[in-house]
Amino acid sequence: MAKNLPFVDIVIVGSGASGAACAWKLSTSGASIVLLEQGDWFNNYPGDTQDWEIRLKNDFHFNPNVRNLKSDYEILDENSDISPLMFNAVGGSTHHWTAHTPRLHPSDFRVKTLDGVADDWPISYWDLEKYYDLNDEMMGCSGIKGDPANPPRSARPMPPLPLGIDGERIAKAADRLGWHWWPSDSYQASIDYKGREGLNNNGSYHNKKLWEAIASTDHVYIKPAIKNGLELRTNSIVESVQVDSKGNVNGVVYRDTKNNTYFQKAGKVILACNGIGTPRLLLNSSSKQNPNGLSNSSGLVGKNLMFHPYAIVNGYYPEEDIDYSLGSLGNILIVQEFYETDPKRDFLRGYSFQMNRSTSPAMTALGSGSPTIVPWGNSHHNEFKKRFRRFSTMAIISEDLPELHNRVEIVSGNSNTLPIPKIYYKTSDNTKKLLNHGIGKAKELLKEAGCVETTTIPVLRSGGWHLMGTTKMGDDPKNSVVNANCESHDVKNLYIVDGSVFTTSAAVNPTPTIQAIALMTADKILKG
Amino acid sequence: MKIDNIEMNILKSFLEVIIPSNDDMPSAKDIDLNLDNILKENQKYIKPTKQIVDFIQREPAARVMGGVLSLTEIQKIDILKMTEHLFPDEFAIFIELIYLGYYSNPEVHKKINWTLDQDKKDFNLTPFDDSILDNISKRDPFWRKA
Repeated sequence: MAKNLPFVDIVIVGSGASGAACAWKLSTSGASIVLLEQGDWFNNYPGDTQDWEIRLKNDFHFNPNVRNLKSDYEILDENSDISPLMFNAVGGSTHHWTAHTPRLHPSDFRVKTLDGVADDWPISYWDLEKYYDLNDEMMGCSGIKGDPANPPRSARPMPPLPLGIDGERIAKAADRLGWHWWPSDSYQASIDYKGREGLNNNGSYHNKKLWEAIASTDHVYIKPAIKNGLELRTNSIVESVQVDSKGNVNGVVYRDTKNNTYFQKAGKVILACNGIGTPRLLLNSSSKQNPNGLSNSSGLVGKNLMFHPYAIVNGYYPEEDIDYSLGSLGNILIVQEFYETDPKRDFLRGYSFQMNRSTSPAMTALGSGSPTIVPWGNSHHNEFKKRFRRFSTMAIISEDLPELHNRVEIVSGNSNTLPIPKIYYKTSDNTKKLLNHGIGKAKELLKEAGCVETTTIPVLRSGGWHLMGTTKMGDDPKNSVVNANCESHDVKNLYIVDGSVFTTSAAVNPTPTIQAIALMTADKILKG
Repeated sequence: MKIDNIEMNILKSFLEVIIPSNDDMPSAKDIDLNLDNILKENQKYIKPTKQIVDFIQREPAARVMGGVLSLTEIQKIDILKMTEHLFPDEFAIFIELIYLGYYSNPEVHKKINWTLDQDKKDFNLTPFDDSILDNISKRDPFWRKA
């Protein structure tokens, strides 16, 4: 029997990128707000010790199935081309990201109108613009205005991170080819910013200075929200969202680490558990009133899972005397020459290139960016030498169109766990054609930059960083789960603010957009 | 579950075949891979490693004469290739263990001129210089209006 807790105005589930931003904005109102987080505070970053790469492959792995910490839950992904990735703690996956932060384009919100595919969003770029700006200010954006591939916008609070010798090579190569490129927007501080120490270099990607330079929402949003009166409850695993006999949301049931269960009564419930955790929770909130799960009259909860399939092309430089590993791993430059639909191509929509660079010794040996590890045996040292500090990576991030068969379901776990999410995902023909085009163009760019050899990963299985689409936003209740305010069509005062609500995926990292949507939703709630 | 001494000795007898020495670099057998600690801290390696070692022990070549520890280099390579073929997933985790041990070793770091010293002068990159934008900045805006 769950213990009843006193009523609060708002309960938010999940303290990652979106839940934290939403909580902060709402906390300015004086409302009583409880934020429930299944993980704990986290600052145990690997770095500065000899074992840091070992930790990257174990307790700090991107994949929760490998990491297997107490705060993680298992995800069954055998039926998926791509493994979903996430981090569970106060601050969520903003503890474990490169912080590459481009915005969606205005056209991304109108794909049905412009290209006759998928659906238009019920909101526009211009609706989100001021919330993008607010989030850039809060998280701290390094970058520079003037990008011809994107709408004009205000100056970023910090200059771009250094391009490095390899970034400059790629930029000049793009210039020679007549292609677009621009320094990446990033939430890594390039100079000191609001208590964060700027970092314009790093010899080995992961180190504590770097983690502290990258924005995480525990510091940026949650600590200020707590000062405003937010109550954070860590190690609190939410089992279900509850509705009353009239179908109105009235709270959540959650458990603590000792398996004590609580009913937190609330006037509004906001879900921010990511594109897998949110549908998992809604599907697990089924009842006699809602036998197929809560907010699921459309049948779309868990459907339309989108990932951003990545292809990876590594280009190897011939010079032995230049170190191509210096600088940030992934916040270097972006190429958006092939972002929009071109009727001359055999696929719809487009992609961005995100430049990454050479990395550390063990990661190189274990095949960073390459389709194979450095082989064991007599050729080991020669092959390692050929790769180590000698390559640039073009990561091709593709627009992933929504398809009903790509989905999250839940299956029973053991008696101590909530139902386990099971993922079904197949890379579409459109995506494969799109990625193939990108692979060809990436090779062209790397060759122009001086690379003498390339390797390719056609679809990166370990690349499921972006979890989107599983509680789609739209105007039609029969064809979407939430409306333009991110409020459930079915259940009044139930909101969703994570990547689940994306109508389409665009072809850029989604976090600034997820956070802008969360801030917009909070603003709409406050304005009634 | 843990790797016992016999299993560890068998594992170690294969290290110089997995990462041999050359003129510049030590073999994986020549240095301390800290395997005991890695295995203790990270359980995911134990089951696959036991499976690989068990397969090695069952190989006919390893069951004659002086046993596993008397295998020639060529025999060890053949056994590893067969293991890799038959148990690719487990073998990949086993190799990950060896590579992580090897490339986390300070002696190896020194040989490949790798340092964790983030304040090293060479690492201080030149700040972003916007003159590199001269060419791309001339391009007219081409984002699609919507």
